[in-house]
Amino acid sequence: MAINVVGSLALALLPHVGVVRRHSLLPVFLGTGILGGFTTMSGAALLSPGARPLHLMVFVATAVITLPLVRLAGRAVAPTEAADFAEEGGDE
Amino acid sequence: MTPLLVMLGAAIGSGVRYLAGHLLDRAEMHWGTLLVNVIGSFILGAIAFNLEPSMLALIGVGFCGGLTTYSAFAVQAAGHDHPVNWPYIALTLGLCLPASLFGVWLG
Repeated sequence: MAINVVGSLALALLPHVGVVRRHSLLPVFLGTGILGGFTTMSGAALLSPGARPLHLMVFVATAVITLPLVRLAGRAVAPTEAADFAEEGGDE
Repeated sequence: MTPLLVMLGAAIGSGVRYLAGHLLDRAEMHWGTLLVNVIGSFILGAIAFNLEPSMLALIGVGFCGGLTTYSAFAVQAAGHDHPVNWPYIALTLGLCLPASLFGVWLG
């Protein structure tokens, strides 16, 4: 869960880093490659038979914590920065 | 050896995820990312409890881990530069969990 929260937050803030936006390949390398590979949906959705209620709680908690944090962190990023970043394929 | 297997799987999975997102994602619905997240959740569920460790490292942790993503989902769904995409959130969370459970049940 910590990896998903931290990785998502980092991806939300990455367009704010000027050097990343200035290089055409950095968004897709750092965003899609490093952070996309760092975080996982398949691991989050996997409920071990022995610990289903706990893992379900963690799955829900991950979304409840991550999505508002990403929304808030996005305030630091100007819309033009986010658009440039998406244009370079950094959020796929 | 195990980290190399994870890296190999993740390299392939992440590449497939990029292509799926690049070709199928739309502003109103990120179909490509949704698709790889659901498929990856299903595959990991199906193999997680019945594959030998080295194959699990390659296909589970590596390929499925690289194929699926939480960070792209979170930013696409709740990024500040667009309204919160509630249908995308509902579809992703509502499909990945059953896909994984179905995989575990089959596997």
